Amino acid sequence: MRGISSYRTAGLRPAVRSRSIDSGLRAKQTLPVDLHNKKLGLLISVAPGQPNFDHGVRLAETALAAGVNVYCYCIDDGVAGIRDERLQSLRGRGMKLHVCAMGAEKRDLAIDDSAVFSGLTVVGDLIANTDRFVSFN
Amino acid sequence: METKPAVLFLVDSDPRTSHRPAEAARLAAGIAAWGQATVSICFCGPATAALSEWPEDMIDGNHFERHLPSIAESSGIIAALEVRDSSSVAKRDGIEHKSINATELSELSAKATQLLRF
Repeated sequence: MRGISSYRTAGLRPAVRSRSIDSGLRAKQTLPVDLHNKKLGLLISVAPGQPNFDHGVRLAETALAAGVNVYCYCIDDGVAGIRDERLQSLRGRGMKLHVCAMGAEKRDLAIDDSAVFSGLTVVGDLIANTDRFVSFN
Repeated sequence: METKPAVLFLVDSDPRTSHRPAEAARLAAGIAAWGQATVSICFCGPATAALSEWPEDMIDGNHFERHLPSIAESSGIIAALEVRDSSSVAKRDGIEHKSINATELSELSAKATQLLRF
C-alpha cells in the first residue's frame, strides 16, 4: 500500500506532555493546542476508492472541524475525486479545492466550478506556505 | 534567514507498467521550477529503468528527459539507489544522475522536510 508521506504530521495532534505535580508524582496531561487558522496542505494523487483517498478526506474533515484552513490539491489519479460528495461537502465548509489542470485535461474532465483548475505552482505554494503539508499517494 | 523546504520524491513504481514515475518527474520539475522548494528525486528498484532504458519503452517516457534536467538545474539531486555499496556519477541516455547507496538515501531523507512517494 502506498504510504502517507509527511515528516511533519505530528504537529496536528494535541500535545501530550508530562508535568510535575505537588506530590512529586508525574502525570500525563493533555494540553490543548490552538489549531485555529493554521494552514494544512493536502496532496491527493490516488483515485477515489483507494484507502489513501479516504485517509486524505478524513484528515481534511478533522482539520476543518478544528478550525484549520485546509488546502487540497488533487493530482494524477486524484483528479477523478474532485466531484466526490465528501470533497464537495468539505469545500462547502471552507476547504480550498484545487485540481491539476493538465491531469484533468488528460482524463477528459470538463472544466467547471467544482474545483479551481490550477498549475503545479500551487503545489509549490502549498509546500512553502502551509504549516503542514501531507501527501496521500 | 528562512530556509526553503526540501522535498524528496521517492519513486519505486515500475515506469514500464505504471504512469506514476513519469507523473512524479513532472510534479517534481513543476515544483522546482518556481524556486519555492529544493526538490530532489530518487529512483529505487524497478523505477531506475526511467534513467537507463529507452523512453518509448515506458509509459509517458518522454517526461523523464523533458523534466528531470530542470531539477538538476535548480540545484536538486537526481539519484538512483544502487544495490552495491558505492557512489559514482553515471550518465545514461542523456539523463545524468548520481548513484547512491542506502546510507546516502537515509541522509537525503533526513534532510528532507517533505517526502513524497510515487
